[in-house]
Amino acid sequence: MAALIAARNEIAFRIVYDRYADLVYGVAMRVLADPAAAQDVVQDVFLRFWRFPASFDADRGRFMSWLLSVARNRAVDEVRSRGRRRLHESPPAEGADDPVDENAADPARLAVLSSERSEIRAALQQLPVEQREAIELAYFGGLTQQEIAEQLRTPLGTIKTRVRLGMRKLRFALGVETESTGVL
Amino acid sequence: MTCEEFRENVEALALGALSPEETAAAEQHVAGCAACARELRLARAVVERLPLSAPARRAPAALRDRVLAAVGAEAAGVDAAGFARRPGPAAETAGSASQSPAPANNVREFAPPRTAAPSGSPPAAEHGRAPVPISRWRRVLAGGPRLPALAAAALLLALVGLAAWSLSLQGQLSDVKHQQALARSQPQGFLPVSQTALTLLASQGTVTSELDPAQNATATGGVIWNPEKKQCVVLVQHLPPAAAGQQYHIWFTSGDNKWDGGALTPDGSGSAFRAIDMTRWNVGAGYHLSVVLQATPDNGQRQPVLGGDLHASLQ
Repeated sequence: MAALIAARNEIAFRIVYDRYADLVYGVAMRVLADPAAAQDVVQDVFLRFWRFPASFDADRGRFMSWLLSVARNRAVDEVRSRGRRRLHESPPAEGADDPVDENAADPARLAVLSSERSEIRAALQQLPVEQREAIELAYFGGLTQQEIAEQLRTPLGTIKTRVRLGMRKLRFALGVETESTGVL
Repeated sequence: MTCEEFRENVEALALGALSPEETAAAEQHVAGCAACARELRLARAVVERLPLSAPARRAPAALRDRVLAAVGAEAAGVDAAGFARRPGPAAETAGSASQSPAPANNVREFAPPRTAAPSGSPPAAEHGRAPVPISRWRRVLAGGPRLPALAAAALLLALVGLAAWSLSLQGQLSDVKHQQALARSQPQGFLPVSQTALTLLASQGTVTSELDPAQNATATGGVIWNPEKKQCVVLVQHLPPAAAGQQYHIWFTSGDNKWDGGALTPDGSGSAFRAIDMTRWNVGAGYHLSVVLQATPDNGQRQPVLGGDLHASLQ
């Protein structure tokens, strides 16, 4: 599909957009909690993919993971460029802010919203709150361990331990023992 | 940095949560240590799943319009700012990677190398061809005084984009009136074609390929094919209208066999798409697909427009 987009195929682009826009928007909202800014990120991510489709290297992993990681990075950039840091919050409630009905009988959408998503959510939920909080502040907040320690007023060593233990538990829970490869 | 120190920090490195100094030291170590490199890859594999934990949010339909209009404008040779698009690959080097302290998950973003930009500068200033902010699109679509003709063109493209709204509107059952109006405006058959394409894309073994334009032809296109499901979707754009008494057709050949994939009718923007059920064909590991302009009824004289070969990947 990236090859089709490289050939400037607008219909292929529409399909990719329709397939992933809700997910990209969800990630941007998770970082920014600001619909207008999150929409700018979505627009930015998809237009850059349209312009530079070769940026995605299928040999390096799955398209969805790549696209969402790009969205996260752009959103974190936005947070930083505004000179503000969103204080850590719990993830927005499922029922808030125009969520996608992930149980909708839509095979195409369900294909994207696969068990993989449930798996990572469940794995995160199983972590002690402090470990989950540290990982989410690092990833969705774009904070370093030092910044997390300052924000939570917790010793840096404690934060490092939380990150390390939490990530190792996630790795075990997700069964990550091989490198991922995949297709669009 | 020793291996032991690296292992203590590998998760934070993958998360992008180390300081710049720590990151540099860790990256220097891992560049020469295969065992630690493997640990880093495994940590990255965890990190790359983290964005999946974010709840999906319904991206607004208006956002879709803007993005598709911008893409349509660029595809038509006019960039999002309303100026003639610069040809050639030079433009493709003008983009930039994110400047955030990205998790070290090897997320190679758009068109590195990055142009130098001061940290904290707004996105529009960072990149050679940064996307136009949404607010600017609002002005363009509203018909700004500077470029009214291009604004009209952008609006036209936005309207073309409307024709493909079907997927995003599926969930908006509450907006029945809107959906009914949309159904009337859609090219017939787009919805099932989109669903077939999405299903194929989500399936193992699906092959995609571009179609090459014939000499003097302006059309571009591609095909999505799943040999196991024996289904394919052909997507073509920039097709000029067929003259009276002529029709576009899709033909498949494999060895001495030939199959008619059916007619391809472009919409007002020159886009056409067709999902094709190949279950009754004895297509093996590959075939040649061609889009031709032929007389109606077919007199055997066919003018090639696009063509390409597809081969199933043998796994």
